[in-house]
This record gives sequence, structure tokens and C-alpha cells, in this order.
Amino acid sequence: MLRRALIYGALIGGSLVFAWPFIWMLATSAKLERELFDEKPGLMPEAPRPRLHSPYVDTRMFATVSGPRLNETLGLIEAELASPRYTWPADVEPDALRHEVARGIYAQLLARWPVEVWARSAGELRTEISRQISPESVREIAGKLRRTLCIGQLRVRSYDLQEDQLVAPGTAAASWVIGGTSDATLVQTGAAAEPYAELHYSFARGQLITLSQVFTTSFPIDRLHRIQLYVKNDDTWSAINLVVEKGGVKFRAERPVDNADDNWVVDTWQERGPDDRPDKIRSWTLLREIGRGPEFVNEPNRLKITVEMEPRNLLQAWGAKILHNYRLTFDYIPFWRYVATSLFLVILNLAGTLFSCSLVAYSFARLQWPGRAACFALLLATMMIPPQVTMIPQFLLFQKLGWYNTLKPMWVPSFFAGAFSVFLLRQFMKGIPRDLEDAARLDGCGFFRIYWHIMLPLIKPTLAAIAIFTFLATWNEFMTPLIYLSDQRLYPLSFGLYAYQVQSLQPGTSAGIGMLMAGSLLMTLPVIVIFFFAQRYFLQGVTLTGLKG
Amino acid sequence: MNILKALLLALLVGGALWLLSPGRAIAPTEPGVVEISYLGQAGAEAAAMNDAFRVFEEESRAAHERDPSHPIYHIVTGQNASRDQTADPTRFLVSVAGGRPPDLIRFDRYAISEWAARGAFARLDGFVAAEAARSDEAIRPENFYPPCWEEVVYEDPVSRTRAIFAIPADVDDRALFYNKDLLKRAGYVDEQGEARPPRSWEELATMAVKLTEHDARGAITRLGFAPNFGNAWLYLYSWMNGGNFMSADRRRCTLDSPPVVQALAWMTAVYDSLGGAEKVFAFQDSQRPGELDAFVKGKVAMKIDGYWSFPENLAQFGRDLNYGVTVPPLPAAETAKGRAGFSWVSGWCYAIPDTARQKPAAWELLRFLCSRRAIQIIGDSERLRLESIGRVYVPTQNSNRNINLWLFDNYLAKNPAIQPKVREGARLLNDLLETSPIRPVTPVGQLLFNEQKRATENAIFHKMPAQAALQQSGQVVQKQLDRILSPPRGPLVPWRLLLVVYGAIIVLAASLMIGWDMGIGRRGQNTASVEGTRSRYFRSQWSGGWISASPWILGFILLTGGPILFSIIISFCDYDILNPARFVGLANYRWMFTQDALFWKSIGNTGFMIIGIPLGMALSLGIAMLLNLEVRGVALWRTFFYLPSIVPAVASSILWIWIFNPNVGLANQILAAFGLHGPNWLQDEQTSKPALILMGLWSAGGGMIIWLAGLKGISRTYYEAAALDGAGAWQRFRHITLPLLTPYIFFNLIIGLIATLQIFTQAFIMTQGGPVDSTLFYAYHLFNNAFRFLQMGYASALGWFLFIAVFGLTLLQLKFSRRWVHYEE
Repeated sequence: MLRRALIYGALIGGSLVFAWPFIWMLATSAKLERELFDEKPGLMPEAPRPRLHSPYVDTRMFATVSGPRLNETLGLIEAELASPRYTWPADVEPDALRHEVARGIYAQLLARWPVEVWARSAGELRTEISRQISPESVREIAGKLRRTLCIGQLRVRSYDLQEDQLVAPGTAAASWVIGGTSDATLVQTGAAAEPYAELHYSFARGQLITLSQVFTTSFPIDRLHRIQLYVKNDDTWSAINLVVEKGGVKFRAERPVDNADDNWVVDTWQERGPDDRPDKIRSWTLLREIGRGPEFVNEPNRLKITVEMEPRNLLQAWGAKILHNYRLTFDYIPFWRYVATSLFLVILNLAGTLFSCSLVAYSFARLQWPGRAACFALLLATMMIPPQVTMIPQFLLFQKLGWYNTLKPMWVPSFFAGAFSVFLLRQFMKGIPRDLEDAARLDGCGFFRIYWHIMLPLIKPTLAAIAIFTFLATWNEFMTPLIYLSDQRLYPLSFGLYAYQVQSLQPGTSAGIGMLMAGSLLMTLPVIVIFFFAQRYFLQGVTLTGLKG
Repeated sequence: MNILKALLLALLVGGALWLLSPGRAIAPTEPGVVEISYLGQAGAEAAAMNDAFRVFEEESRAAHERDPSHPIYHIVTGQNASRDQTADPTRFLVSVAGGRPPDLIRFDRYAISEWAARGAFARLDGFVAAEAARSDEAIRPENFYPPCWEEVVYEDPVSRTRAIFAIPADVDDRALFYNKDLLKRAGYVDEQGEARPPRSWEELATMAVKLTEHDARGAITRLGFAPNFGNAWLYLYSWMNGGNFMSADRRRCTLDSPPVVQALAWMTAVYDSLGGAEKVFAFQDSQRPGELDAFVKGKVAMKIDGYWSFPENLAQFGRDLNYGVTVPPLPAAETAKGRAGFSWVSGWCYAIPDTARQKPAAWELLRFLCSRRAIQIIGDSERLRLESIGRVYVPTQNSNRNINLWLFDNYLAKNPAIQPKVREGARLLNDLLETSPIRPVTPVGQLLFNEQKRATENAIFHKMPAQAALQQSGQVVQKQLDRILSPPRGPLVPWRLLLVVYGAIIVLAASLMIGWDMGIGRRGQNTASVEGTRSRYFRSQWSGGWISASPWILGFILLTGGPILFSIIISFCDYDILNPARFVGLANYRWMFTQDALFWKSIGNTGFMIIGIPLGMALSLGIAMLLNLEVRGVALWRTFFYLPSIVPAVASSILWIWIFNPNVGLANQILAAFGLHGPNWLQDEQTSKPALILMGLWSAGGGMIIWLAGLKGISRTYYEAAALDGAGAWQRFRHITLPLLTPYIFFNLIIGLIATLQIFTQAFIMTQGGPVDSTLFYAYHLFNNAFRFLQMGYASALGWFLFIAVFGLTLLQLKFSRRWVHYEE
């Protein structure tokens, strides 16, 4: 009983340690950029907070502020903020906002005040505080805390590079017709230099809010290339969709854009076209045809654009958040093209390695032939030469064979028996009793039949191990593609992904780590699945040792 | 039945291969199309470049329709292993050596002279001269910032010939970034109450100390300023102090001249006043990837860093940070001389390899890429991508003054999303481009960089005084420079003859083997009569042996043997890959044993790592035995333990850098839970190697597979018999498991030894050989010499010394193995 407990204890403990990288990658792949720049990055990604009303006060921003005389100072600041000097936006709860602003001011003081100030008396602190706070600074912090969905300009562009500003940021509120099943209003705000409209909404009554309008373009509508909407998200995790009618056809975005985070974002939509090339990063959402008919707008220079917004519940928000980085990976690299190339190489490498290595190992382990000892020493020796030394002559050779910029250097050598696998198989074969072979030989079997019918079935566990090693090595190989491929379209997954990963390795850029982890996970998953199922072959073991005795 | 199955399988595999083959995705090149291959950026930048390429191609097609003599261009793009061409030029170097270089390459500008000196790049003077007659955005030297243009013109110090070897592209310079809030907090304010940055070195040093904060244990929690936090290096401080790394005629390395020594002494003093370089480096570790930028977080008060801080960090994540940018201060004595502050300039350029096939076409592409039009296409594409993920686009600076000003105007001044502080900072950095210095244009630029870094580390970690450190490093650079300026003139290698010799060796070896083995066969027959029938049988199977070993034998002769012979010969040559090899006798080996101090250091480092082999073996055997027990869900457990071996190296490196982070890393948090104060791991020369061993242990699950295969091969009957005899668990392990596993122990020992002596990747990705060369392993030293310092001959000599060492050790093991390895024959 105790023994069992110990065993399982060791298994669980060990699994935790060894599965750690995987857990970490999984967690990181679900993080937004903002979380990676957090003061104390935790392991788990932050939970999304879907909301039904906007604007609202984001209480997360200064939630973890702490420092000397926290509560006392907060009290003093709130007392100061109660003064009528300060004005508050009417559309959010004033008490909650004042409370958060106080915390924000405290954080600011913490960063700016000399340490000595904190030793002063309460009275001095109060005067110091009222000296520090100004209506402008309060407005600035309140602005950061108040989340609201901002709508800027709407632009379209033709394939002939003509650009139309269909909605100017200064008239954003007046340009749209609000519809849907719930309540919403557009309020024109922003500084004169940077105007925009705020969309105030509540999903209390229904599940859909729409902004729509029919626009006229300066170019023929069949030359329409892309539609761009400037938006500052309010982090309510609602889903934003686009519906377009033009030329008697109705289009809809193939997937919604997440209303997540709180930056200005340019959301772009376009139909399938010449931009859909594998070497291009997809930074737009594809528009799909969903119907055609006389009821849809059909004039040479007109189109109808409808922005739809729907709320998400917690589960849907989690789904959207987790998928975020994975989608980016698919947008950034032609993932499936790379996977196909990798699989192509894996199949050839497996076939080559398994056949040639087992045959050669059989020869070294069992057959007697002149030069065997010397050749075995040579075989071991080839492993010991640092690859950097033979890289250049090998390139010269392959290039003379016309293999430059082809996949051949990545699979042909596997048919010539790699030293490592031969060595491993030979060690294994030497450990197998000879009785069976002797019996077969007495029956008149030749070397090849003994190899094929007796040896191969016996070495299955090791072959399975070698198959895994080969798969892994081929799947992760990046030095050979790096040197021999000059055409991006031939890249296998390992190298295609690596080309993106190196960027994230530059010091000082946390950017893209989430995407990097998502990509790495996608690359790792098939290996894990294959390992999980291939292990059954190790379990078989060798059942023949019984013969001996 | 069996044949049917095999046929079906073959059909299936064939069909799958046909479906998956990428060949179908690639259209064959049309006749009359000129293919230009380009080697440049990776990742998102590459995608933006592709947009420009497509436009270039379309335009060439349109021009061809108007005028059939105009060629149609097609561009094939490749990518580098890293964004930093100089850190890993492997790809380019190999393709040049193989006679298939790209037609156009984007190259680190300061490395141009090093490669130009060896004839790697074509002279562009003819092309540039022809530009004078062209009007459409012609490339004219006077349009470029002077330091950028200076860097691409190389004059041979001996022959005095000058030529243009590249056209400058992107550029970046550095400035002092300071956190206004932190400065105000410490009382550094001017009359208006605004934060006041330091005006001299002296002030900078005092402010550095005053702004630095420590926790109870003395670890740095906020850094005021550290000379090498950011991107300044000894270069900038030396220039500020009136020093230079090279003499005016660029034939002498002046690394040990008094102004440089003083600058290094000042840097050392700053580190000392902060509590020592170890403490600063421990803090600096959080600057690594996977972590956030310390300056953006407000954990660093001042840093000297490059323009790239804006696009990478400040413009995106530093929106709430109250910071300023200013010219780095000079020593007070230099200001008194009337000198004004400056920055330093580095960046990129486009070059055409000397052996490129399509030079005129490459030039057309080059001048297109240098035009405002191409830069706008690239900029717009990047801007669209960044804005779609909620970022702002800050273009990199351009060497062409007109384009740079337009970039500023179009993307910074006109974009309301760009904060004023970013705009002001960018303007300051643009102004500094006119007057700031560049690193010396010399054929030993890379070595000089490595050595100034080495000297700096030696001094700030108090391995030796500044004077001695610089003297030592200066000598290393000087020796290399002398070698390049007056190269050894040995006879050329007669490759054709050697090929014939290679054939002869193969024939000779084959006949020798046959003769030798026949002798042994006969002896065997005489002595062991029981084995007699067997030997006779085997001899009749010689042909079978050869046939079944033929894949390897053929592979060796065709693919491996030749390259091996090549590298043996090269090890006796002076060979920089770009020029033909010349015999120099034993010079490389002599240099190795008598002159190269790092050779011995790297051997020591590599030797230390051998400790990891038995540890790793014991651990993976332990895991295998645990997983060989009958437990529920064994497949799942095994998968868990195997996970570390599957995770791609890049991803796991990021993870481990974070785990070993001295302040917030997992390793030290666990130690802290037991009340222990963890070490600085990768930042400390005492613990950097153990840290790497620890990291290696963690992937012990990979070795588990081999052990499992071995354990499964042991028959249960042995254990059952032993149990009947009353043997305990330990006895069963000691007398059954271990002896029967000896073939695997032997295998793992040899493989482990080979892998350890060739250890490279971890050091390359995680530590870059540092700190203070403590992770400069043998293979890394070899790589540096081969691909960074372009000394392939010397690298081959290093390779062969390593080979002899491993081979000797293996032979020794093979010899002793007969005593303890037990085969079931």
C-alpha cells in the first residue's frame, strides 16, 4: 500500500515537473499582449470580463496598488476629490469612479514623491496632496479608467489605390443609423484634433446593436478592395461583425472581431482576392457572400455597410480569448502548407531510416564480413565530427548534385543509414539470443529472409523508439532547411515557424510571445499525440527469451 | 495476402507523398523571366517586403509589355536564421562558398568592411556613377547621412584602393532615455520644476547611485543607470572620452590607449558604486525576452538605448510612462574642450555578392528598395498589420536624409496616434544622425566587438584591471589584423588531385579490410572448433553482409567521406571560405596550443559539463524504471515525462531564461520558499554551467525511451527465479537489471559523451557564451571562428582536435566495454 502511494506520488510529482513547459506554453498562449507586460506576470491568463453595459469603470487597473500609509492616504485623496473643483462624467457610477481615481492618484504619488514625504504628518500630507491634484490630472486618470467604445473614421479603398473617407471622425456620430434590438446612442466627443464618437450601449433588452448606412464611393463598387473602420475597443468582449451589400450581393465577415483590450484598432475587411497569397500576413477579416437578390443594394457606386455587435457570455469570451493567438498564427504563416511539407519529409525520412538502419545494424550485429570492425569504428567516428566542420563541403556536394533549393538534402541522406540509429539497433540486436536465427538457418533461410521474418519483428520496440526520434528530428529540423532552401514556399513547419520565432527572441520585445507559444503548441501537439499512441509498441517487449531456458 | 498488404501500403504512402509534396505549389519559371534571389528579413518584416516585391514584379511585367527588351523579374526570398545577420551568417556564408549566393542581401552595415576585405561583395562604384545620369530617385551619396555612407565605403589599408560595397538602408542611433517621474522624485529638477537629465559623466555617475534602490538582501529593485544596460558598449564611452579603437591608418588596434582605458575604468567605477556588476547583471536579466521591458515598467531611471525602443516598446506600451530623451552627456573635461554630445550610428544596407548571377537585375531591385515608393509600400503594409492588432506604427530611420524626413513627416507628424514624446524623441535622434560616429571600418570588426565586450566583462567583474584587460584584448585583435593585412601565401590546394587520392584511398581501404579480415577469419576457425561451422557459414554470407551494409557504405563514400577529407585538408590551410584555401602547414594547430587562450578555457568549460552525463543517465533510468512498473494510465504518465523533449528549443529557452531569472524566476522562488537565497544562475560565472546542466537533466525523459526498450527486453523469468531465491529489490536491480542493461549503458555513455563535447545550442540561444566566457563551450568557440571570424581553417583544426579526443575516448570505452558490457550471445 505504502509502495503504491510512493509510486503514484513520484509519478504525479514528476509529471508536474516535466509537464511544466507544456502547462506554461498552454497558459501563455491564451494571454493578451497586455498581460505579458503586467507588473507581476502570473502563470494563469487573466479571465475575460464580458459586460453588457458600456461605458463603465474598469476596476482592474489600480487593483493591486499598495504602499506606505495606503488607507490613510486614500481617505485624504477621496476627501479632496469630493470638492466641487472636480467634474465627473455623468454616464458612469460617480462613487466607483472617484474611488478608483483615488487609487490611481495614490499610484502616481508613489511614483513621483520623494520617499521622505511619506514620513510627514497627516496635515502636511493633506496640503501636499491638494497641491499635487489638479482637475487636469483627475480628468486624465478618470479617462483611463472609464472604458467606452469609440468609433472613428470609416475608409474604403479600391484596387486602383483610390481612397474614400466615407465617415469623417468629426461626424462619426451623425453618419450612422442605429438599429438592432437593444439600446444604444452615439455621442460625438474627443478633442478637436482627434474627434470621434462614443457608442453608449446596453444589452439589457436585446442581443443585437447595429450601425448601418448606405454610402457612395468615388470609384466603381466592383473595384472595392478593403473597408476599414477605426475603433477604440472597450474590453467588453462583445463580437463585432460586418455585413456589406453591394452589386446585388450580401456579404458577411467570416468571423467576428473581438471587442477586447482598450487600444485604437483599425478593423479591416476584404473579399477574397489577390492579397490572399501564402507569403502575406492576413491582417484583415475575409468577407463571404451569404446571398444575392434584388432586395440588396445594386447600384454602380453604392454600398451598404452594417456594423453588428452582439454580447458574449463568459464561456464565449473565454473561447474567443483562447483562440486569439492561434488565429494570429494562422493569419501570419501558411500553416497548412508548411505542415504538408513537414509531413512529406517525415514520411520519407521514416521509410528511409527504418529500412536502411535496421538492415545495416543487422549486418553489423549478426553477419560476418571483412572490414566489419573497421567500418563500425568509422560509423561511430562520423558521429563525433562536429557538424559545423563538414557543413561547407557538404553544401558544395549537394549543390553540384543540383539539390540546392530542393527538399532532397532533407530526406535522401536518411536512406543511407544514420549512425545514431544503426548504433542503437546494433546494441539492441546484440542483446537478442541467437537461437531463433540458428533454427531458421538450419531450415535453409537466407540472410534477407532471416532479417525480414525474424529480426524485424524482434526489434519492433527499438524501431518504435527510432521512429519517434526520427519523427521528432525531422519535425524540428531547421538547420538544413535554413541552408538549402532559398524559396519560402518550400519551407517545412519547423523553419517557417522559426522564422517568426527569432523575432520574439530579440531582447526587449515581449511582443508576440503569446503567438509564439500558440505556434509552438500547434507544432508540438501532433508529436504528443503520436508519442501517446506509438508507445504501445514499447510495451510489446521481447517475448522470445523463454527459448533459452 | 502479405503482398497485397504491402502493395496497398505502398500505394497509400505514394498517394500521401504526392498529395503533400510542395513541388505542386511552385509554378515552373517561365522562359525569359529573370529570377532574383533575395536574402533578408524574417517574420513580419519579410511579409511587408513581399508586398514591395510583388509591385516590383508587376511593374517589370508592365514595362516588358511596353518594351520587350525589358526583362520580367521574379523574386525568390529566403530568410536568415536570425534577424542579426552578424550573429549567425551561416546561411549566407555557406551559399557563397557553394557558389550560389543570393543576388541581393540585406546586411549589417558595420560588417560590410569585414566581408568586403575578403572580396565577398561586388564593387558598386560603376552602378552609383551611372546613377548621376538618372533622375527618378537616383542613389546619390550626398543624399545620405555622412556616417551611413562612410560605413559602406571600404579602403584597403595596404593597397589603398577604395570602393563602395553597399548602399545604406535602415539606420538607428542611440540616446539617453530618462524617466521623468523618477528623476523628479529624487529631486533632479530645473527651475521650471521639470525633470533635469545629467549634464556630465560625473553627474550621471552620482545620479546612477542615488536613483538605484535595493531590497533588504541588497538585490537591486530599481536601477538608476548602468553603462551597458541598453545599447552603448565601450564604443560610445570611449568616443565620448576622446578615444578610438583603431589608429587613423586602421592598421593598428588602439584598444589600450589611455582614453579607452579611462572610459573602461569609469564604467567599472559606476558598476562598483552600484554594488558590483554581478548585482546589476542579476537585475538586468529581467530585460530578457519573456519578460517586460524594465524601463517601460519604471524599474530603470536612465538608459542609453537605440531608436528601436520606440517601435518595440515605448510607442506601444510606454504610453503612460513619463519619459524624456536627450543627448548622452560627455565627461566634464571634454565639454570644457568645447565638444558637443553625440550618439552612435549603426544599421543595415543592401549589398550584391561578388559571385551573384544577376548583378544588373539585383541593382534594379536594390534601387527600387531604396526608393521612397518601396519604403512607403513596406511602411503601409506594416502599419496596416500593426494597427489591426492595436499597435501604432513607428518606421525605422532611413539612411537617406530625404526619405527619413518624409518618413517622419508621413508616419509620425501626421499620425495623431503617435504621442508627442515619441515624436520629440524621434526628432532628436534624427538630428543626431548627421554628426554621430560609426564603429571603425575594419576587416576585424566582429572580433573587435567580441573583444571589447570581453575586456569590459573582465574589467567590471574585476577579473583584471581595465588596462590589462584592454591590452590583452587589443593584442588578440592586432594579431588577427596582421594576419589579414599580410596573409600567409602558401601553395593552393590541388583539389582535383585530392579527389583522385580519395578514390585510391577507398580502393586501398577496401582491399586492406578484406585481407585483414580473412586472416582473422582463418584464425577463428583454427582456435575455436565449436564455432567452426558458424564461421564457415558466415564466410559464405560475406556478400550478404556487404549488401546489407551497403546503404551505409555507399552513404559514407558518397556523402560523408568526401566532406570529412575536405575538412582534414582545410585544417592545414588558411581558408576564409570566400577565397581559395592555401596550405600553411601546422600553423593552425600551433596557434591552437600556443596562442589561443580561449581554446583552453573552452575545453575546461566543456569538460565541466561531463558531470551531467552520469546524472542524466541515472535520472532517465530511474524514470524508465518507474514507468516500467504496472501502474494505471501508464501511457499518459510516459507522455508527461517525455514532454520536455518535444517542446521546440526556442520555446523552451524562453521558459528557462524565465525560470532562471534571479528576481522573479521560478527556481529562486522555490528556493525562497525554503528560506534560501538563490544564486544569479545564468548571470553568474559560478552557476551558469550548473544551470545548463540542470536544464539538460530536465529533458532526461528523452533518454527514457531507450531505457524502456531495454527494460522491456529483459525476460520476467529472471526476476521470478531471483524472487524464488529470495533476492531483494536492490539485489534484483544490481544482479539482473544492471548487467542486462549494460549494452544500453554503453550506448548512452558514448552518445552522451559525443553530445556533451559538441554542446552548442543552449549556449548559443541562452547565454551567448557569457558571462565572462563561462559558457564558451568548445563547439561554440569553433562556430565563432568558422562563421563569425571567417577562419574556417582554424575551425577545422579545432574540429579535428575534438574528433581525436572523442574518438580516443570512445576507443578506450570500447576496449574497456568488453569487461563490463554483457551481450546475450
